[in-house]
Parts: sequence; structure tokens; C-alpha cells
Amino acid sequence: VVSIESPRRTQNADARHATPSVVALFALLFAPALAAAQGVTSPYLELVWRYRAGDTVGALTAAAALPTEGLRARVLRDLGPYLCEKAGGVRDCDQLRRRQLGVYRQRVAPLLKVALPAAVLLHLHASTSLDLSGARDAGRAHRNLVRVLLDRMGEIEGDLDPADVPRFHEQRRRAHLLIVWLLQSDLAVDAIDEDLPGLRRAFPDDADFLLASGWVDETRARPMFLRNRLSLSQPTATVDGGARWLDRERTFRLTRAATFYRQTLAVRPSYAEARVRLGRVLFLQNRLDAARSVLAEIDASAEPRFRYLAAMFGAAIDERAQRAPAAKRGYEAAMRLWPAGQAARIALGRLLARDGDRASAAALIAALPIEPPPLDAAADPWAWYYLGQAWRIEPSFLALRADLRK
Amino acid sequence: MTGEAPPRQALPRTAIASRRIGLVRRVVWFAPFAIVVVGVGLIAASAGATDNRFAGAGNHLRPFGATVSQGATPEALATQDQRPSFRTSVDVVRLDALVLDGGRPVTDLTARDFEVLDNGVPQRIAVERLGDSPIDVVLALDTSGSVAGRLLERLTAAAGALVDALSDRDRVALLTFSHSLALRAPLTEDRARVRLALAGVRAAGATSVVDALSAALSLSGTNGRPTLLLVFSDGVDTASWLTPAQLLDQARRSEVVIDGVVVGSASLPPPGRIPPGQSTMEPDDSERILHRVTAATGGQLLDGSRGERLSSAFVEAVRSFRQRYEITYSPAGAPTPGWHAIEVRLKRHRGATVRARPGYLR
Repeated sequence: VVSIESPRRTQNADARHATPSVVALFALLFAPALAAAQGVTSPYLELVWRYRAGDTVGALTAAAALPTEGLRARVLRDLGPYLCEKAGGVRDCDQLRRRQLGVYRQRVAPLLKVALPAAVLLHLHASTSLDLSGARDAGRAHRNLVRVLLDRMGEIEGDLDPADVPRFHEQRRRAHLLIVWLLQSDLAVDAIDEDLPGLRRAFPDDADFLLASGWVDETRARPMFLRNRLSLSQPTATVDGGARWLDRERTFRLTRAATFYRQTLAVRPSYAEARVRLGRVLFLQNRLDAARSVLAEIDASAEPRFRYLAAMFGAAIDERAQRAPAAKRGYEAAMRLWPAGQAARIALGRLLARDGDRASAAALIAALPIEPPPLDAAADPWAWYYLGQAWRIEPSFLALRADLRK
Repeated sequence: MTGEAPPRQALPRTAIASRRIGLVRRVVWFAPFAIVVVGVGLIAASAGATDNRFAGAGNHLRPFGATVSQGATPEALATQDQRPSFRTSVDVVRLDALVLDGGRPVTDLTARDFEVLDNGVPQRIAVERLGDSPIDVVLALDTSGSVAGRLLERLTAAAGALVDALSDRDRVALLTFSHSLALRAPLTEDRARVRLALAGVRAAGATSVVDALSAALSLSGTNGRPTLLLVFSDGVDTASWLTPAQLLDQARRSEVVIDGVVVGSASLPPPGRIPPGQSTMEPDDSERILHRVTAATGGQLLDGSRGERLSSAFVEAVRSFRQRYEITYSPAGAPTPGWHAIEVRLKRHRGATVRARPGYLR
């Protein structure tokens, strides 16, 4: 961003720059009188005497120890450049800047602990609203702004009152998760991949970030993503047209995804979504028995959407194992678990048509809705599957907002 | 005459005996004629080349191409509007073949002009031009988010033009797809209903073209009418449950002709970069599924450019479908299950090409 200033503004800036010298001289000449008149405490005198002795670093230290935030900030703001100039060393100037920043952070941290989460919430809301209205580019801009704000939240966490830290940390975690899910809804795999290593360090052993990491690799193993990467990483023609690279990359991604999902389950064994995804990845690796046993652990206590997906993947396993009757039963069970699920209906219709029962297949398809169902909480869980945990965005956003309003 | 029928009375034994004698006499009298008729029929059947779809291949060859099992009588199929649904069977194989000479359809051919080989084995065939016979058209339209705006307007206008191009006896269904499917109109002759449904189409969401084609195939071909499945899409599949391999399997078992009209990234060049079978990814490659599925059913892929040629492409798809020949045969000498390669040759018209499905699965 290039800012263009008018000549008048530049002159004003020069005038402001001249001001510190005047203030400093005034302060130096009349410091004792001021101290007596305004009750300025000893650090101020310390500052003056240090400065007079040519000890710029000592003067800065004294300035940082001034009793009120306003005085401290003003002295550093006004005298800082002057002292820095006097000091004549880059190291001193860097020290000065660091001190100025420290003062600034201490001053604004109490404000930012409220303002930053509020700003995050505001831009999250703008992002989701714009996405829903079809303005996805504008929505992305707000998402990126939230990512910057979340970085700032991480920076000020150490400046907060220790009593405030746990709640602030949790708010930051939830906001990060919301951003990850919003990026998942946009299939912005690269953007999520930029954030996740740092998030795994900031929130170690967090099941949600581990699951999101698995999703990244599972998504990168999809043909459309592999093909994109193939065209980027292998611009020149290869003997096999990149087939070997595709195989290797797919195997690598699926293995990594399975590892992340296993780590997720190690942290939170009851995480049904991780189990469903691990089952699918094992299925894609053609490890049918392993996939079946993982999916079998999803019991009746799991949410219906995961039981539906487990039934669907189980039926797909049966199909691949040439067990058509079992596959049909699996799809029928899935239809019972989630009556609005279209994937089960279409898959069962295909099996019936293949076996020659065209009338039953046609009847299944004839029951499709006249209007396409919206992608909401009641939509087919499979329609959400590729979008990771984007189905959680709305309830999580509402919960975070309620928490901030407390 | 409107009263009840009189009660039956027991006939005397002499009367029964005389009736039986009369019946025997009639059988004896008509037997030579019946033998002659059956003999002529067998000779005609062995000659093979005939336009009569009820001769040569037996009674299971039904009018207008309904696929029926052995044992279904022609009488049961005589009334087109009351055609029952039958289970699919490969007792009869149907091909809808388009013959082009210099890009123009050839429309004056008979069974004598064709030679059909099933797994290399010549077949006895019956041939009829579709012409004005009633057809079913299933429209599967991509209404994902990328279609929104001007393209959607052009798409609905094109679908309206297609509906206008159909005859009164034709039926049309409207299926739209994005992240989910909607059957906006089942197969119907009621064009006003379809136009009304078109007016309500909105665009949003991802693309599940593979699921949509599978659903459309499941919906089609239950009444034996020649069926054209016309699919429009502007992008690659991003949301289907089924894999392209599963769709191809279903298409190869179906008699429906699939034509595609594509714009944007869906109009990629045909497959070729990665040789088939060399990559485990190949079965899941959805990018070029429209190229594959249209080729597998003997259909064509039309370019809608950026949407400005959609209407002409839609009408062209129906027009060329009507120029097709319906070729039917009962597979002889090729009873094995699995893939059956079909080769359709022309005995004359050396320069002409035939567009028909390259085989079927049984």
C-alpha cells in the first residue's frame, strides 16, 4: 500500500517532529519546578539527570519507569526520537523501539483483550454473510483479516493479566477453528496448510486441529487436487504422463491423513467424525477389513450424521468386496438413518438398476425432491463431507458470540 | 341385451362327442396351411436380412425398441401408450445408431445396409429409423454456483427451446444438480409443467454430475422408449458419492444415449495424458467423465461455447437423435457374461461413419 501525502500534511509532520525538541528543552530547564508544582515523582527527575549526563539508555529506562501510562507514553513518544538521535547508535534506537512497543502493548493489552475478539467476531460474521450472499471474494478478504487479527491475539496473550489468559486463549482457539472451517468451506487447502503447523504448536494435542490436518491430506489426495499439483510440480512431460507421481503422492497423502486421524483418536477416542474419516481413508487405501473394523466402533451413541456416513462407507466396502446384497442393506440402513440423504438413494438406485430391477430404481429416484434442499444442518451429511467441519460453522459462531457477550 | 347372461346348461354326451369330432376335423384341415406358414417363417428367419422386426429374430423383438424378456408377446406391446415396464434383459440388444456422411446424417438405410458384430460374431438384426416415433428426453442440468447469472438465463432458454422442439407424444423430464439433486419434473408430456419448472431454477452449490447422471439413468428406460439423456455442465465433479467408474459401469448396462453440452472447464480435451490403467487414480478421474460417458453410450459432446450456443446445441442434440436408427438383435453365439464389444459396419456408404455405443455389459 502506498500512501500519498499532501505537501501540507508533510509540513505538519515536520512541525510535529520539531515539537519534541521544544518540549524536551522545556522539561530540562524547568524540571525541578515542574516536579515541585505537579508532584512528579522521582523517575522523571531520574530521566532528566540521566539525560543531562548523556546516558541515553539510562534516560530511556527511567522513562519506562514513569508512574502513569499517559506520562510514560507521552515522554517516550516525544523524547524518544530526540534521545535516539542523541544516542547515535542503531542498537540504542532498536532498544528504544522495543521499549516503545512494550509500553504500547502494556497500555493497549487490556483494551485489545476485548477489542480483538470483538473484531474477529465482526469480520467472521461479515465473512459468512458475504459467502451466503454469493460475494465469496469479499468473504475471503474478511477471512484473511481475521487471520491477521488472530495473530495479534497471539502476540498480546503474554501481556494480559494471568487470570484472563485461559478464557482469552480458548476464545482464540475457537476463532482459529472457525477460520479453519470457513477455509474448508472454500476448499482453501493451501491457506489452511499455512496456518495449521503454527496452530498445532500453539495448541498442542488439540483434537480439532489434528482432525483438520487430516482433512487437508485427505483432500489433497482427491484426484482434482492431485492433478492441479501435478501440473504445477511437473511442468515438463514425463514418460508415464505423471502416473507414477500421482500414485506416490496419493499414497503419501492418504497415509499422512490416516496418521493425523489416529492421533486425533488418541487424544479424543470418542471423536466419531475422526473415526468415520479414518474408515474412509482406509477404504481408499483398499484396506477393507481395517476400514470395516474402524467403522464398526461407531455405535448408537454417535450423532446420526456419523452413523449415516458409517453405514454409507460400510456399504461402499461391501460393494467393492462384491457383496451386493450386503451393500443394498447398508444403503437402506443409511436411508433410514437420514431420510433426506440423497447419496444413499442414488447409490441404491444404481445397484437396483444394475441388477435389472429398473422399476424399483426409478421409483427411488422419482422420490427426489422437486426443489434442491439447501446446504443446511438437515442436508445430506455426504454433501458436507468434502467441506470438512464446515457444517459446524453456524452453531460454533453463535456459541462464540454468546461467550463474548458475557 | 343388458340383462344377465343365461345360466349354463349341461350338454348331452352326444353333443360333446360331435363337437370334439368337429374340432379334430378343423385341426386336420388347417394343419397343412400351418406347416406352410411356419416353414416360410423359418426360411425368412434364416435369410436374416429383413426390415420386419417380428420376423427372423422371433417374437421377443418388440416394436419401438422396448427391451423385454423372452416370452413377452407382441400383443402385450402393441399399444405404445400402455407399455408395461419390464426388467432389463440382454436377451435383446438395442443400439441407437447415427450414420453420418460428410457430417450429414444418412437417413435412407435399411437392415441390408448394416452389419453388426457382437464380440466378433455377426448378428441377425432388425432396423428402424426413429424418425417421428415418440421418444423420452431426460434433461440433467448443472445448476451449481458457477452457472449463476447470464449463463443460467441462457441455459433455461436453451432447455425451453428443446421442449419446443419435441413432438406432442414425446416426454421430457427435468433433473437439476448442484451439491444435491432435484427432480423438478418427472417424465411427462405436459410441457407447461416443464416450462414452469425451468422458470424456478436457481444456481448455487457444488457440482455432482456423476450422481446426477446415475440418477437420470436409473430413471430412464423403464418403458422401452428410445431415450436421450442430455446433460449440461460447466465444470468438473466436486461432490458426487458415486465414482466415474461406477457411472461408466451403469451406462454400459443401459440403452440410453447420453449427449453432453459443455461450457467452460468441462470442455477439456479428451483423455489422453495418462494412459488408462497406468494409474490407480484413473478410475476416479472425474475431470473427463462427460467425454467418457457420452462415448460409452454412442452419444456426442457438443460445445456450448460460453453459453451463446446452448440453444442450438440442445436442439441439435434432439434433432440428431431423431436421425438415429434403432438396431435390435438377439445375441447369437455370444452368450458369455461381461463386456460385449459391438461393431456396426456399413455394407455400402464406404465413407460414412456410424456413431453407436461400442459395447455393453451383461
